[in-house]
Amino acid sequence: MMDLLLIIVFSVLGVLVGVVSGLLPGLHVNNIALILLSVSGSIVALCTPLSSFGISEQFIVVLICVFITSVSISHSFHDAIPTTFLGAPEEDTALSVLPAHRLLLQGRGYEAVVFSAIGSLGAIVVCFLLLYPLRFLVGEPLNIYAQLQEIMFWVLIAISILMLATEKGKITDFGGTKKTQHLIGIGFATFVFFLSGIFGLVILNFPLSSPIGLPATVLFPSLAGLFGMPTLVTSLFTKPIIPQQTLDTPMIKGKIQRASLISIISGSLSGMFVSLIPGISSSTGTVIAMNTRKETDNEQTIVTLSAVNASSAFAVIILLYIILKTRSGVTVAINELIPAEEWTSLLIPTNLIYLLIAVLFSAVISFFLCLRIAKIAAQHFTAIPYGALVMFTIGLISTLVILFTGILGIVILLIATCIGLLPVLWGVRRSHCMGVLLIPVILYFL
Amino acid sequence: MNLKYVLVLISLLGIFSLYILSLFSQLPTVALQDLQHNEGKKVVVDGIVLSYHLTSYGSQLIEIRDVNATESGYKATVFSQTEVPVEYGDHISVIGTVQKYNGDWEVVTDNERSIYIVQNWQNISFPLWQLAQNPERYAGTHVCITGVVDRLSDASFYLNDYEGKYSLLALFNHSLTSRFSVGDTISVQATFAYDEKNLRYVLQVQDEPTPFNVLSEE
Repeated sequence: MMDLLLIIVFSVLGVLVGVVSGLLPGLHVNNIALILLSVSGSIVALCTPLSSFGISEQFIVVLICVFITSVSISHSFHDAIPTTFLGAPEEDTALSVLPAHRLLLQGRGYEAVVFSAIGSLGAIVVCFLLLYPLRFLVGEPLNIYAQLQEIMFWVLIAISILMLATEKGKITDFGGTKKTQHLIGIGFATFVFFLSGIFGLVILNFPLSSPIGLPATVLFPSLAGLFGMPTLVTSLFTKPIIPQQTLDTPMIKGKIQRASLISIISGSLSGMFVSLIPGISSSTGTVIAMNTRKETDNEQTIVTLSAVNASSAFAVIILLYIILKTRSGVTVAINELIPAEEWTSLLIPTNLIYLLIAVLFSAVISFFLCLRIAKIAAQHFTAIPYGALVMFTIGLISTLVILFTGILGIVILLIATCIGLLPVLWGVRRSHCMGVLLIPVILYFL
Repeated sequence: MNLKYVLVLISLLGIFSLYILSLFSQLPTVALQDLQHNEGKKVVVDGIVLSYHLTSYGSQLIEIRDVNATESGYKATVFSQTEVPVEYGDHISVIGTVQKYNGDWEVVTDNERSIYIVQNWQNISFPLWQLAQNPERYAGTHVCITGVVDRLSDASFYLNDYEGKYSLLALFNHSLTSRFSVGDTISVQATFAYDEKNLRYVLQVQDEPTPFNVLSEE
């Protein structure tokens, strides 16, 4: 009973930290996991008084993993709030507007967060229902993962082609017909993909080291630069006119209900798939899901994207115990603290049960918290000193990059930011920057 | 010039600069006794494989010692998430991050490509005098020795150097006796071990892989 109580307490603490990290724009959950991993020793020391209640040090480490898991789940719910309310471009000049920003510019920002929360919670439920099918499909007896590994090179090539061929951006700088502009868009997307890939190959074995002895990973400055900083930088220079926001909860009935259900299921399956494949992200999963179901309206894109994100956050934890591979910063941290025990039978490993309790509990709390915070944000976000908040976040990311990777990390962050700004300014999908991981991984499987 | 084009240029120049920078900022090669001064840093270490085993989680732990150290010298553990085909006595070079784990120094690699076999133990051939002068340096590792067969029996023979100055007992399975005869020059792949009972060093020849290579017959 005491064990369960502690798991709930640590889940709640994780959810609260996830609220803070999720609300800070541009901060990725993997960075949070690495920070938590580096201070895990201090957390264990802080928790030693628990041993007087008969709690072993081993269980305290499990509780830290529960905490990290809850942070990641809570973060995946709450980052929809800054994504929606902050960084909206001026619609007349922007080449690509995110679906959540389109709703914000229509005065429906709160609705966007509601759709996102529904997508996230729905995906967690679908993942729970698919827990055993996933176990038997990926692990023994069907061993899909082992079979996938044999053709991984071709799978990655196919995903890359799908990503590039489904680019819808049109580049008008060189004139031509709409078809020509579309083809130039695909050409530029291919350029961004390969540019990111070459960048990835150059920095792969770059000698980074933390000036204060923290684990230095080249992925931190590169991914923060490619995906986090460009949004922050562009939002500093845009002053969109945001209309008064309505606080109506969307009526999800009939056709919308059916569409949302399909979005959740396709997003969840896609999220699980991308979790199996190295080098691809949930944005790739969204492209796969959206192309599978051919739905393009803003609301369903938001539901699908959130379902992919939440499903991926969930699936990487399950897959850690089935294929013993770490596919995210969160699972790297968990695996460092409690090496995963392979799930081979019907019985779920004990540590995984603890983590699943944390996932379910955090998802339900985060759902309600997220809606509550989104309502407050919709009412008061015009009062938020946005410029100062963005500057603070840019400063925070830069400081963390220096602390984790030193001055060379900052150089990588700057160059990655330049590359990450290209899709934003030229109006193609940002996910092409995933070439940074995909091309080195493809070459690895060659 | 339009910012869009400037950024394309900056990105290309940035990647080129990083490439140039990577050529000049090679990772430092660190001796095993200096690992303690490099905690948290990515380094290159060289070593000879002393032992290796797979954990129940599929990762591999490889114990190495300094290439130039003695048996009592510094050791470290290399952690690899996946299995790397190393063998006892191989000279390996490892790129990884230095960490302390359970009081011991560990070099944690990012992937299996971070472990490079510089020289397979079967290709590291020593003259007998080198073994005789530094026996403790090679004890417990695989070695490849070239010499002349002498005093051949069912389960042992002596390996002499060409001058007849040094001689080393080799113990082996009797089924291998037909492959060579006294006076042949052969190379032997075996474990160089200390025989405590008889206070001497010996070569313990395994059956597999092919431990003998006859270089010239008498």
